[in-house]
Amino acid sequence: MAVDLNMPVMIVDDYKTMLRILRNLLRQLKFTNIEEATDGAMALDMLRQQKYGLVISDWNMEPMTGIELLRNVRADAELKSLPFIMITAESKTENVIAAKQAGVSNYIVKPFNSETLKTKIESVLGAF
Amino acid sequence: MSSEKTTSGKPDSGPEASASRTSVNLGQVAMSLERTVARLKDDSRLEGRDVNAYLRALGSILRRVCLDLEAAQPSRIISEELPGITTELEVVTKEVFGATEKILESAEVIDQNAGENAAVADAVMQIFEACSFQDITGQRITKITSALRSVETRARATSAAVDEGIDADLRRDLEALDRVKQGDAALLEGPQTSGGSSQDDIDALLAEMDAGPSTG
Repeated sequence: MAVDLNMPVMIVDDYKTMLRILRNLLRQLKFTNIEEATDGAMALDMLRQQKYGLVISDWNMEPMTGIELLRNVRADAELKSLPFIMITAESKTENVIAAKQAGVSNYIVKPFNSETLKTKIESVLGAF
Repeated sequence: MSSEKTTSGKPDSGPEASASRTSVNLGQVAMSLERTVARLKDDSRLEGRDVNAYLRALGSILRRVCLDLEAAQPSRIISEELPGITTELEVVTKEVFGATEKILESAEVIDQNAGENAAVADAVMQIFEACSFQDITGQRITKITSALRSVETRARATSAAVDEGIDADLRRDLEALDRVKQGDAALLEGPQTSGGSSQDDIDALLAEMDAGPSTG
């Protein structure tokens, strides 16, 4: 099944530059509906107000980190099936295991390129 | 001389008094040891020759430690060098951020005017990818700044040990440095220079966890 490129995609990062880069890379991949949050709490509020098709989140943010956001998403009956990709500089095995146990759909380590981003989105949503 | 400076004008106190304080003052410890040696000398009941020599040597070592610590100039490191480095790092961060934003703005303009030119689109994509360095360097600089704060706290402790003693606030800072991070906080270390996993390692680990029942 083809990916709906018009579905709302949430990107979460406390570095404004990173949000800008992600938005541009997603636009290059033909996604048209991209919304931003600068920490986990803000993202959770937005996710509860509108239906999204994908979350791409950084890990290291305050006050709510990416992994806390993920746990909240998975604990929420309305959001628990939402595809969730973590993009982070945290590359230790313990981090990957913790994210997987929290229910992450896929995991991208920074720095990354658009090909990796595309591949991981496809692995979660299907080819596009 | 550090021992003279640290003991002048202070009440004459023995080792018992020092032990009851919450502060550590190496100069006072050295002086106390010297006084103990003097008392041992006067006490004919003690066969204190060996003890005497040992304590004298210990006092000498402590005095030397005080001089070495003073020579390291922890006060100058705290007041002059560390603030300068931190300021420089803040400037670097700001300049890198500004430059990255300008590059991204220009890349976006090129992108909007690229039309269907695949080569331009590909080049712009690479600019976007390359600009993610700002995020990584920012996190690395944050780690350096945090390490410098740790050095500053320890240098303050060294300086205080030589000059005035460690007060409650400084002791709290030192304990915070020594506290082992637990839970989620222990997982946050930012970009790795060694010991981190590559994207391929991570993909393999995730696949293994998907396939195997043992990961829980």
